[in-house]
Amino acid sequence: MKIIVCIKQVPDTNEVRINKETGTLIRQGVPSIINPDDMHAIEQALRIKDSREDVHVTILCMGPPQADVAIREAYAMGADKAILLSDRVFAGSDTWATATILAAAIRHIGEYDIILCGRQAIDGDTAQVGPEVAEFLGLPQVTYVQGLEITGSTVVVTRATEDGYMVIESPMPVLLTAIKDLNEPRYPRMKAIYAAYEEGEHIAFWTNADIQADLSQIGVKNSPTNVKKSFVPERSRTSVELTGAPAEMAGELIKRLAAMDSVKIIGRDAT
Amino acid sequence: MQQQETQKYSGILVYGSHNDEGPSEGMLELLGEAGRLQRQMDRPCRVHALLIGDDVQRFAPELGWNGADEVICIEGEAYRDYRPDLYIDALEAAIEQVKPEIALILATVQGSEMASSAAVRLRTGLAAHCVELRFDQDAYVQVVPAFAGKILGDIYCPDTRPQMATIKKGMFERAEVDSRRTCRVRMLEVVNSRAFDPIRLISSVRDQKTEDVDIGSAEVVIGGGLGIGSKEHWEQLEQLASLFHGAVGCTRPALDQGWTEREDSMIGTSGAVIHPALYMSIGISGAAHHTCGIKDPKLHIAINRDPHAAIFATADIGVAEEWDTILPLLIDRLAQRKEA
Ligand SMILES: Cc1cc2nc3c(=O)[nH]c(=O)nc-3n(C[C@H](O)[C@H](O)[C@H](O)COP(=O)(O)OP(=O)(O)OC[C@H]3O[C@@H](n4cnc5c(N)ncnc54)[C@H](O)[C@@H]3O)c2cc1C
Repeated sequence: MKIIVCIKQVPDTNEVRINKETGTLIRQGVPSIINPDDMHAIEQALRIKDSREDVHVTILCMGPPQADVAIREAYAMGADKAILLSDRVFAGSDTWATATILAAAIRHIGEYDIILCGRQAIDGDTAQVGPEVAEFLGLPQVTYVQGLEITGSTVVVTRATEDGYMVIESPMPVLLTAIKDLNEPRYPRMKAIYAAYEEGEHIAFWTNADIQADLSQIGVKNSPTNVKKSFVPERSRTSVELTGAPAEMAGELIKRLAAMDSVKIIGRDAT
Repeated sequence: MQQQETQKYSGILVYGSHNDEGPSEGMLELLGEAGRLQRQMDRPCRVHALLIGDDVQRFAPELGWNGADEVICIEGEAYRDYRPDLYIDALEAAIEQVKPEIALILATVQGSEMASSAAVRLRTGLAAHCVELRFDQDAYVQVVPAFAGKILGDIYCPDTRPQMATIKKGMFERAEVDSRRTCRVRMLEVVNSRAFDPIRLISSVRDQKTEDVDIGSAEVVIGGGLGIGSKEHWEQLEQLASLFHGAVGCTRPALDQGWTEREDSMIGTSGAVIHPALYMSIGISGAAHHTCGIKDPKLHIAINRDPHAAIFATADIGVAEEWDTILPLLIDRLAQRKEA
């Protein structure tokens, strides 16, 4: 069984600071991590590998050359091969173009039974790339996967919904997107980390020359959407800080609440 | 991107969600926003609402009252439960039929996946989780958040149609209901060319919803964070909320602690968007992940013992105190009041 896991390297959003004037990210000093949902996708692939003999796991990541750290880390968790897709012509791709590139790479890999992605990346939060890759490859898809079982030639997937869950059976090949509830990711092993930094076929660097994505469909120029401008949302609240003894503050709050038309204080007797 | 003949597209298509009783609040909000865009356009524009399901035609009038000019129904037993392959075919077919210049899709779990796939098939762009939609001169601008809402970006989709967007529930306001408004109903048959036969729904489970107030539509929301400290303490938030017939919301860490079971009450990028009149945040630090789920409350009161907490920057009234010195007093006094 062949599994491909698509991952992305992202800046740790908790650490991200914004330049208020330019509305852009201050990348300096911000640690890069494997996107959290993607960690669950990797872990699930490795669990399948642990549970049977015939599994081969390939990590696929599109990103700048520095994203080699991410593929090496994913490899060290237990994958068989890790590929970084990096090329100037990919730069500025929106989700549509990114999915075009990933789909071309997956076709180039050739064989696959399961493609796992994280549900969404913490930088753009779009949740679009997984489904888009499925569509480009003409595969069935199940997103928001919180449970997964393989039964013969099909997968039985538990998918989270807003108010519960669904159990869906799908043929393979299939594309699945993982959420946090799916599993607890493992840590890489020390020995494997060293191996991840050794040269060999297990760590590959591909450009568009390898995967032959249609140049008229990718990159900033050919993306259907483009970002004209980014900016910092305005938070124009002027806050008043209350002072005094707790009882006074509580009294002041009640005064303010009672003055609001749309807020009804029903009190205890009414319930 | 290959240029499409963009002028062949007109109107706005809205796809939301419904339950057995009717269209969801989120769907009506999208219709409200579609109406606002419609009024800003200087060319003829119709608002088309799409319903996919079993026996859904009965909801058409309500969509009309809320702003739809036409309701497109894709009906049948096959659509009783969500199946990605059939539903994506349906959305694609509706868009092919209507050829709208704008499509608004509610960012539910299923809506997000349907929109992504449909965008690929239709070879057009999709902007995720838009927080604002507007026209700039003649160009349509979709504003999306990035980095948990710390920055926003103006997205344009100049050459392809429809210009698609997903939008979270709670982001926009619904229109005034006008029960004299009528709308056309169009039934659409879909040939499922791309359905994957063996995809099968084995079961579908819905959590028992309590009688609690829905956080998305509540006028008063009491939000609790990690600072609350324990499940016993959490009950005080419930008490306070009940005095307003309000809802209790939470941050992710509070949910992870198990102080509330209600996953749907988490506020923020990965959870609900709320737009209450009153939001009271208690023991919440004010991470962007959380605050971008709070939409224009009339009054935001923040209680946090750390005077430098980021939450105070988004609040109208700040109380830099231990919450448990204030809350019992508030509950006590409010409980004694009755609506005048
Ligand atoms: C991809 C991703 C998505 C996320 N999505 C969401 C989301 O949708 N919603 C969300 O909420 N979070 C989300 N988070 C988490 C988010 O980044 C923050 O970690 C979270 O919002 C912080 O929650 P908190 O304020 O409850 O906890 P903390 O940040 O720990 O803050 C607790 C606060 O309580 C105060 N406090 C402590 N004791 C007291 C006391 N006795 N009295 C008064 N104040 C007290 C402290 O001063 C502190 O400010 C997400 C994170 C990631 C990485």
